[in-house]
Amino acid sequence: MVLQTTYNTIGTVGGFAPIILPDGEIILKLNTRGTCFPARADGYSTRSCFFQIRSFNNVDNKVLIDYSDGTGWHEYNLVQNGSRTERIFRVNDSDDPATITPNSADIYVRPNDGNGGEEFGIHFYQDLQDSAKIDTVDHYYEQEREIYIKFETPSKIQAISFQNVVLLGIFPSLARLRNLVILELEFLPNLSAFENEAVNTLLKIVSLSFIGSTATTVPIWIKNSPITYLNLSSYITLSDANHFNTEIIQPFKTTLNILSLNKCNLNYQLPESFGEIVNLNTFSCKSMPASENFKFPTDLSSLTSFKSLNISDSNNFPFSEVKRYIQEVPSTGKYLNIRTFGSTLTAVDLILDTDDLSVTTFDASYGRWNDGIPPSCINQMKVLETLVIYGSYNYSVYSGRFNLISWGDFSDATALREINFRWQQKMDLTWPSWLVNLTSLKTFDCHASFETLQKMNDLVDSIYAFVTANAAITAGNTAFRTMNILTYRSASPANSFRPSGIYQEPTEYIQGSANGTPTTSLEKVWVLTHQYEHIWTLKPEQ
Amino acid sequence: MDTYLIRYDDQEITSIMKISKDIDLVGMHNKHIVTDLTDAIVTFMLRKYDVQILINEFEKPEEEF
Repeated sequence: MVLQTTYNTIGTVGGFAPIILPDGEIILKLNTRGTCFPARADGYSTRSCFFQIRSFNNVDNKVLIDYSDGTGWHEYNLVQNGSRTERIFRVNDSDDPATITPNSADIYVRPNDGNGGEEFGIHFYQDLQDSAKIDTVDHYYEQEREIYIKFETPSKIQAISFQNVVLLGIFPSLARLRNLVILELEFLPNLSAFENEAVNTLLKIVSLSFIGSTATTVPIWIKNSPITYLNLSSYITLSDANHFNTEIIQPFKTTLNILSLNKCNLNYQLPESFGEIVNLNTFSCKSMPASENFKFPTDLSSLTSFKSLNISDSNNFPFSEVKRYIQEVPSTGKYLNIRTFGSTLTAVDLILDTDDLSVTTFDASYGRWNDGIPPSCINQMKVLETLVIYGSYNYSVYSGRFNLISWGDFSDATALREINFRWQQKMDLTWPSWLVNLTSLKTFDCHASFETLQKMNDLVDSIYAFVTANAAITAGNTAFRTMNILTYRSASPANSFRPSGIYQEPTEYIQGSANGTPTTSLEKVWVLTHQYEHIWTLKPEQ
Repeated sequence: MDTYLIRYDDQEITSIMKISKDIDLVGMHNKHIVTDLTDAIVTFMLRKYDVQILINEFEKPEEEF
């Protein structure tokens, strides 16, 4: 059935468009394989693998699944997760093909059907041709099957998301889920096409990204929907400015807030009509293999809401256009991510024409800017609050291009509240004397940045000397007091050490008047946490 | 769901930092809460704090590696 209506003329009952067929008769058929649902599509990377169903907030609902393995329909209540009513069928992050990390959160599925799964949040098929595979994890197991999904109250289903799941062939039409607002299909490399019965939808958030097919046109049912968030990364091919105008700008210019076209080569000047996307807040075009000819349109003055630009890993994106985003887009509170731009064998730098009053968060990670010194533009960013320049975790990225060596000098970036120099094993982290200018600094993250215990202890000595010299001993949220120093994360434990000594009060310490005589690094940390109200994260004792 | 260490005083939220749940934190006697971001926003809004720093963190694009 094709609904010959438009978005503006869909009648609603109680705020929801009525379902054409009685509730319960909408059944989605999916094709998959593996020994369990969901099966991971990407060969055991750390990317999450999940199927997520969300009902409108505080609306009770159920999802029912027939896994076609003889165990019948399985019923799962959607549950409250903060403000959301949802259920997540998730294979947690693991690079081990034989195991699945348990997750105790109750938003994840715990089948009570006695057929495996338990707290793992997945269903193990019970009809496998190789019976030894039953209740084991094998995302590549070849036996294919159809899975049927339905809902207790389909008219109240708000969101459906699949990420990194083995889905084969054609994705079924969701046209009858008339009130669906969010559809996210991401990292589904085995999908070949979409079935659809609608000429328009109520969808606002759509992601068709990194799926197993590409297209040169945006599906008509998306063009005719009031889209605010559109992610067509690695899916749409936009060959030139006219094509970009036809497929992206004209259909979505009045509604679009967030546009992601990662891995879509935009190796040309964007059309002047780009400025007509007046509500554009976020533009992401990461990982473009070719972008050396990219240019923003001539006039950027209408993009007053354009606060976020992510061009990470698009290494040959012209510096001149980065500068134009900073200097010509008339918004404030900008987030700018240029990760890997400095990861070159020859020294590179980014210098602005004038001081900047717009960028508040800047990520310039993975780079030996100036052969290991942060880029000069940081010192020109007068309202910068968060600076992120992380290196190569545990030397995992090839060559030596991915680490800083020293701090350089960005003493004029006096609005900084947070500096993140994690994974910088080759850097001299000793706090420079000019840091005294950064009186708003509250957070310093340097976890996994230590090649030796001595370097860990040296950093503690450095911070202790700096803080005791420059911070008030009296209580209050003044400069260099109430800081957070992060030296360890359990998720990235390499190159980490626990400072030497015992965490204890040093001799002659008097609260509010004397720091005593700390003799070990941990006694210095104790003084910082008690006298100066710091909180430190440390590698636990073995 | 990510966990955050949020520092605050009588007037304002002073800092926010994403943390692991199972790390060794010292200085926890100082004023703070450890929670997820959405709960923190609700909590501090009810206390009439300016929650812009939390909203900025919430709106920050997710990092991919």
